[in-house]
Amino acid sequence: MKLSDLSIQDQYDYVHKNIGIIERDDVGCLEISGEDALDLLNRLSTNDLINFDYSNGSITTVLTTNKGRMIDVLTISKSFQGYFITCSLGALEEIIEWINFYTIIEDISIKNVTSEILYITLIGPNSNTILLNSLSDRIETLNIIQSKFISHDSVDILINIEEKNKLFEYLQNLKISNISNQIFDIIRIKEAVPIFQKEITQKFNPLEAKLEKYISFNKGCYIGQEVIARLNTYKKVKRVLVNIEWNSEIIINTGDKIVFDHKDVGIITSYVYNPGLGKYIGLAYINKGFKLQEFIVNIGVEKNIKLLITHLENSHHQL
Amino acid sequence: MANSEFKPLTISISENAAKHVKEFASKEGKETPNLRVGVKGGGCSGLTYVLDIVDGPKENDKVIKDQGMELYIDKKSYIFLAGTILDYSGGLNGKGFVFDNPNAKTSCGCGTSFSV
Repeated sequence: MKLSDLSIQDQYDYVHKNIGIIERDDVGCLEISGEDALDLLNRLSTNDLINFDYSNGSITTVLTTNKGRMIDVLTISKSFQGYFITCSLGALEEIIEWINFYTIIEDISIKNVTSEILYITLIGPNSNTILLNSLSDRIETLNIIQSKFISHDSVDILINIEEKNKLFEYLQNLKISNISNQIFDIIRIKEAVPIFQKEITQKFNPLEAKLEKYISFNKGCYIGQEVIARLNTYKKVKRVLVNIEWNSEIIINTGDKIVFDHKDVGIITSYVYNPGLGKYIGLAYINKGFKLQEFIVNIGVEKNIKLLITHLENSHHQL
Repeated sequence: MANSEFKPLTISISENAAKHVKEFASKEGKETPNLRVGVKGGGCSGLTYVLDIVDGPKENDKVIKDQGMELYIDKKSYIFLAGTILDYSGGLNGKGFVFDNPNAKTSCGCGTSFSV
């Protein structure tokens, strides 16, 4: 019986004791090269890409508009020719257009290599150490990408697609196999990791999405910097990404507004059924000022829903 | 019909800015104070000014002679900088080299980045 044939609850329990893998078909990959490639990317995004030691792995940054809104979250790692940019597959074309638009005199080449790579997330105890040590000896093109999960042991890896069979043969020998995408979503939502077209859109800025760890407040100019710096300095962030739970009988849709006391106080961005809790969990942007509590709201067409805003383990924000 | 003298858009440098360029060139041991002026992508307003003291032009550069020196600009940057006067703002509250660029719609607080 395949791991992915087990119930969602069983798969979720499995990755707390063993390692499972998810092939990420939602990830796109670009390769940039040229003397000015990293410098240009540094002037287009929030993190300090110039002073990072790429022999230590990868660095994550946010591509922002001139109004400080999010285009996508990018992870940069070293490649043979230059640098890989891993991003959301749905944002790939826009990112290429954005970089090309701002290429004036810079020496930079950009190539879409999504079809040439395989991107996998490994989740489970010690996946980021034991497994990586043995994989490094076997997979020539192994590129380690820092996981966005904090509370769950995990690591992302990127390899040349030609080594896919070698990788899966080795993983099969270790009895490590695929788990359902729903497991990834449950963990992602529990850890409030934003994704493209749900939490990462041009309606929101990275401070609202709690992505301060990907912003350097000491680096030089980048597009959107003045807005983001001002919002941070004067604490003008108006809403924040939070975890929510509600009863499973209620049907709610992504994009539904949360209405409290006849006022819009938030918007639902993601949700998934968590069999462990027996209810739906989700993410929402809620106006700052709301306290951590249960309250009765209208969401979309549904009325009088008891909504719980749960506290995030690694949150640095106070509502 | 009144006669008006047509002045093509160009990039020029003020006497004060030229004086400071010559001083910087001298400190760097450069015999001739030739300046590369350009634009690169990114920066808080979207585009960033580039200034560099160089030995000579690159292929396909536009060469402008003004204030006893040569300014070199690539064709792509020229689109964003046509009509610009490079000035120098000194003193305690001075900003250093300042671009008076008629094409810029907005610029950042420090003046090094702009949008069109």
